[in-house]
Amino acid sequence: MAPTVLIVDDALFMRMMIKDILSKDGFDIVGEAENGVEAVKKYAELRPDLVTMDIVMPEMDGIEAVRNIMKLDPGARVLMCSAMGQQPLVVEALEAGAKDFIIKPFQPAKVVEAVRKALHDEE
Amino acid sequence: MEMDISQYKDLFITEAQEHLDSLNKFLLQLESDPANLEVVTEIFRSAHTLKGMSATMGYDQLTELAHEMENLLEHLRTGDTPVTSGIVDTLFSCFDTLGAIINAIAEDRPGQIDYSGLVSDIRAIVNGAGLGPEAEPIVVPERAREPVAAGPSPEPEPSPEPEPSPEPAPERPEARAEPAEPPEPEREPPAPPPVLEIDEAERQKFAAIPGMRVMRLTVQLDSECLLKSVRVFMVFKKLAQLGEVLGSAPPVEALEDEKFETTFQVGLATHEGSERVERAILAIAEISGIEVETLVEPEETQAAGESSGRVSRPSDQSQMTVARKTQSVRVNIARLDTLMNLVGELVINRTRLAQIASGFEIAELREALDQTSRLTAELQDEVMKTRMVPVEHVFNRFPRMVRDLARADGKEVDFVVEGKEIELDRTILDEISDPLIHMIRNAVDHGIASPERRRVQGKPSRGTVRLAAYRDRNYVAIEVEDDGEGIDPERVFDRALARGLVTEDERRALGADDVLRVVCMPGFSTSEKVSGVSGRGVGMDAVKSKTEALGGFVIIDSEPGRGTRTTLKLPLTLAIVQALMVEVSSETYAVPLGTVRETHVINPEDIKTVRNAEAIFLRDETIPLLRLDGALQCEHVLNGTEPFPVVITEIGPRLIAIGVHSLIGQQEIVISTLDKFLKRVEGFAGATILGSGRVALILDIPSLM
Repeated sequence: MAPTVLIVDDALFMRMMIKDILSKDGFDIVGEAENGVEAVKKYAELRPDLVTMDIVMPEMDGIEAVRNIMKLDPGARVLMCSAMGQQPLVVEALEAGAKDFIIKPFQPAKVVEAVRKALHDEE
Repeated sequence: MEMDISQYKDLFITEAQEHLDSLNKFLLQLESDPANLEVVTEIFRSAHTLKGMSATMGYDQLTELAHEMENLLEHLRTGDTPVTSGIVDTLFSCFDTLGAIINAIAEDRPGQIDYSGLVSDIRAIVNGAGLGPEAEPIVVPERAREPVAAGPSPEPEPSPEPEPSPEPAPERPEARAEPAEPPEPEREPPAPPPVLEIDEAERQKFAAIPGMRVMRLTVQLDSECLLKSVRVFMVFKKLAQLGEVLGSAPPVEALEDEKFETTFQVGLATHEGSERVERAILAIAEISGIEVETLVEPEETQAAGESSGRVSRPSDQSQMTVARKTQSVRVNIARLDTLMNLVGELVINRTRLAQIASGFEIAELREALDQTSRLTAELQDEVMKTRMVPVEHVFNRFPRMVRDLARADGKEVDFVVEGKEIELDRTILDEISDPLIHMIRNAVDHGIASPERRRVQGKPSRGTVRLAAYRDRNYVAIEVEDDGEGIDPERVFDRALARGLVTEDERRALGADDVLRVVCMPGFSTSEKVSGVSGRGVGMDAVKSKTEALGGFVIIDSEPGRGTRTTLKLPLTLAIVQALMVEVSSETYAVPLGTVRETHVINPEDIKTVRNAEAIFLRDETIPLLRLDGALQCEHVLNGTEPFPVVITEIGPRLIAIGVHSLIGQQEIVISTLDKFLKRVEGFAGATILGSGRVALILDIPSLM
């Protein structure tokens, strides 16, 4: 069964893109969320194998969402999606429990690699 | 894996424009409440998202400008730089430029838009605040920081190597290999990857712990790796979970500053096996390789053997059937148009079937047809709903426009928006955007006077322009109201005369009711000057013709000195409307039901003549009568002494009674617009195909008044 993914980004455009990249590679996109609050809710409901998480979002940002998801499921696998110039935020997210990160602009190959790696990581 | 980016362009444009709208909205809020940092955060988020999207699409200009803006916003967000009107203006200019770039992209216009001035403005503000761009330091976890081991430590340790110690001895061959390596780092420019030395003392220390290995890891980063320092951070973090980090080469500080090519070495003391360490590090993205040299093997290899107690995450966890949530899809409006047309055809066919069935008394057929009717109606309703969007989409850009207009004119204007949530067919909404712009410009430019003049008039110096949408029976009304100068009919008529739009005789006959008609004459403009922002030569005539083309109409109410209210009444949807079918001279015509107030049967002797025109009296109202046969210049049928029906139609305050031969009944009709060469025919808004297959013309009530 294909690994399930929840995509979190406030831009529909970005969600579409990630969705296309991942579904072409055989991942099963089970849900989308456009802010942190929704992301946590959907995580609890869908329990996806992986979450791609934008950092800067309305309502609740991606870092806070990672914290909440980790509380919900310490084994959660969250992959941060960051823009250039956000090192401190990326580090904060990683400390909050995110597995890894990818940098916008996305290169499909790198997105897939990061997702694969995050899914195979045993930690 | 290559990706065709162009397929995302439309979506990108749409969403980028949405962001631009909200940027403008929030900045207006900020302007009125400069201390509100939450609004700054909203602006920051939107700018940031826009940047990420643009970078993904490879639109460098957008990315760069958005990035500069983000820098500035970051300073505002932290409260380091107070929000000033200069900053607000700069940001507005940025938004305009972003809009121009987005439009250029949308229209596939090549070429550069120069925004270098803006960039230097932004930088000046940022630097002026004493906050030049600084490198953001990366924090490496504490544990990794401590043993910064670069080169052999000179400390003499009490346990010399040659003496056989009672402690478990480290693996000899490995240990001996160590000193063989060149101790002096080479200083040639193309420096080879640095080598991490782990001194004997350190090795001994860990060798003393049962099951402990000491490893030297050579980590290779992807050559295109971005944010190398964060990758380093991740490696250190991971290693800290597996054991103890024994320093790195180059040292941690250099790694933090990204002063290395693509490889670095880390020492690790761990209970884990090399494979597990390898796997853990390779699980980090953009780590393309790792080499593990075990410098110290543990005493009992078995004991520390792969602690395979860990079971990989059961993948059948995902087998739980997950209820998919409803999701939205964006659909090209052209598809919805087609769908609407198909539904229109279906409605025509249904009417046709019903007509055929009426010739036969078959209960089952009628039942089936009733069912079909119900389903068609539902389908039509659903399709219509999918086309509806809140007027907010268009309304959102107006606050910014009003602000700019008022500023340019030195006026003070409060802009009030009501009924944003009212929904309208997408196509109609797109079409009325320009007319609305014109109406709002009129209100600000010509309606609201300067603060000084308003004070003289005993009004508050701040004028109010109100934009409101509300449902009104089968119509949506959108009105623009101001508390300004109002329209002086005499001035309007004089100007029309001066412009040669009316003759002297016509001028004398004009009354207050004619204001709308005159204002909407092509070539009419009451303003002496054309303001920089507004004057584009679109007049009220364009507003009127556009609105009528959509099946709506315009009403102007004005009181000199008190203000003006211009109302657009628009049909909810374009394609299908309820109509009252009437017959005259053996032809069937459709009267849009939205304009119908009531129907009556009148006796010819009740018809009066008022000001040389026929009229009827109804409940103390005088209503002009229009005999449809005469108006359409067809065979006269309404000239006898027989009573005939009239349809009382209503457009705003104006009423007209349309005399017809007979009333057929209410019906749903699908509007087909008239071809270009028929466009100039006055009196008709379009045509529709009847159930019988015949064509019926739809009366254009406003033009009959």
